Amino acid sequence: MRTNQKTSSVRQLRHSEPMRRRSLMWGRIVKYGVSNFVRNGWLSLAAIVVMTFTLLTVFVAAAATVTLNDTVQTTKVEKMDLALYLRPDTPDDVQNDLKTALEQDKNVAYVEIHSKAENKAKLDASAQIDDETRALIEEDGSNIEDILPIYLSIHVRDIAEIDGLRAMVDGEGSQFKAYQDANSYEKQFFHGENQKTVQNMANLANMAQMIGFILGAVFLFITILVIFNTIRIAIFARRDEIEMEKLIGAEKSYVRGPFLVEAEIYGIISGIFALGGGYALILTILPSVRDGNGATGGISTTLLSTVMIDFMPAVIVGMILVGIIIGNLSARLAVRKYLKY
Amino acid sequence: MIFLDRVSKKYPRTARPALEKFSLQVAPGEFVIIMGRSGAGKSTILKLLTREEKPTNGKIVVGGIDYDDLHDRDVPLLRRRIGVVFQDYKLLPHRTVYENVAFAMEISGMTNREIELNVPKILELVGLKGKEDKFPRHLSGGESQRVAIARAMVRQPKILIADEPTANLDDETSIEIVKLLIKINRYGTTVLMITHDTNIVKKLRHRVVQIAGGRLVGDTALKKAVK
Repeated sequence: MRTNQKTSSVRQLRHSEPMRRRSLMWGRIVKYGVSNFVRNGWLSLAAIVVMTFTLLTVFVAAAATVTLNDTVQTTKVEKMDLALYLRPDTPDDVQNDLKTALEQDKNVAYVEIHSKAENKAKLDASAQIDDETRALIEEDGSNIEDILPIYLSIHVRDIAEIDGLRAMVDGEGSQFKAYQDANSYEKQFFHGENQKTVQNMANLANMAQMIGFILGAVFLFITILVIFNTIRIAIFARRDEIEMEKLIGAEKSYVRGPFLVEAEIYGIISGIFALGGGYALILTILPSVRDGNGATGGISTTLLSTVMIDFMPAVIVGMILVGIIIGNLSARLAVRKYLKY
Repeated sequence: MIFLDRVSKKYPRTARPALEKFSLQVAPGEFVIIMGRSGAGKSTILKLLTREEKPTNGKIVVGGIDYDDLHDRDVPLLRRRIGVVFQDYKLLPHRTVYENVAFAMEISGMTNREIELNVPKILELVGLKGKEDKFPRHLSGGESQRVAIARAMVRQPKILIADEPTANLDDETSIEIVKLLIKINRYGTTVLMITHDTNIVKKLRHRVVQIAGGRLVGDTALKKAVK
């Protein structure tokens, strides 16, 4: 039998369809997604519980990281400095020029000039020099103030990134060289009573960050697995319906859509629960952290408070978005395997 | 309307083809019965026509659409043009009679207004007026099959394929369902009924295509033509 039948192009088939009413279709997909969510009952609840734990872990880990980094950063800048010793005869205007030059470096937060007079006052106050020594120095007519150094206290943002600063101070043709106190410079470039503490805190912060990251990743993996299986079970339970939907002409997106919506609902609800739990937890802990350490205490909560209070809408939207993305991703993985045309 | 030219289908890991050089031409408005025993290749014909399966060889053209030109993304569009009634009804268990029928329109992007206008009409045509709010579990086999026919017909396709529509029904109900298919055919729809029920076939005076072992073994239209 030979064909003499006209074969119309597939383009004609595509154009024969009524204009797609996207919003109408999306509305229906959402409606069926919500109905699936309600119908799944206990499965939905289990998925939400696991997802809430994940998001709560992510939230707390993020808050802890922000706090630790803020604390370390504040401590680094305020309590640790590099000292650049200048010759006692360095004029005031040169001191100021050098201060300005140093402050051009991006890593430099600010520079303080410690004059001879100030250093003498400190020396007197600290009583580190006894009368006998003082007499010995002043015996030959020297004034102790004249031999005291002038130094620039350089507060840097990152102690690990001072190579640029070193090059500026110590490099070829450096304007600093003429005024540096050669006797003290090399030995005393690093300075600050809290250097070790700061380094320990930085290490602690890194470790906490890593633990938070690992915990978050583990929970994320578990959540994706749980939601993947929840959706897979839902697909399996409704495989006949899905088959029928495909056979009567439902598009892939229409069959898949409700499953994605269902998983996204898990994300939204979990996001809200985790936000509530996270805020309650942190707001309970914050005052005790502040009280326990006092106004000058070691833990800085300024940045965390700013993020949580001033950026609350962004935090809420972000958290819910993370929930939606996790839900969508897990469901997509489950659906991809089972909804092939 | 339906055109199969030397179509063969061999499934992977099977010794012999399910369908072998099978040809069939169905004119618009015709009522054709495809008859054969289990494993004769009847279901494969349905699967090929709904593009659940692709032929190993041969050409298929349905309603002017050449399946060779069809992309996977066009398959849903094709299926919306063909009404299909299944042996096991394939109704959505959690939806009412009305919702089951409306679903076929929903997936095509029809508006709620269009749905509200068409669904009651088709339910009346198949004799299910007053059962709109019943769930499939509350329906008899005959009623379930009527819902399936209503769902297949609500988009007013030019072709209706019924796969063993009477297989799970008693004789009386089977005759009612066949009468309904004939009624639909009289409205101008081309009907292709796949069955193994010889009793039903004997009672009908329509074209019968017989298939055995995946091959065409008889066609009453050809006999008439020869006579």
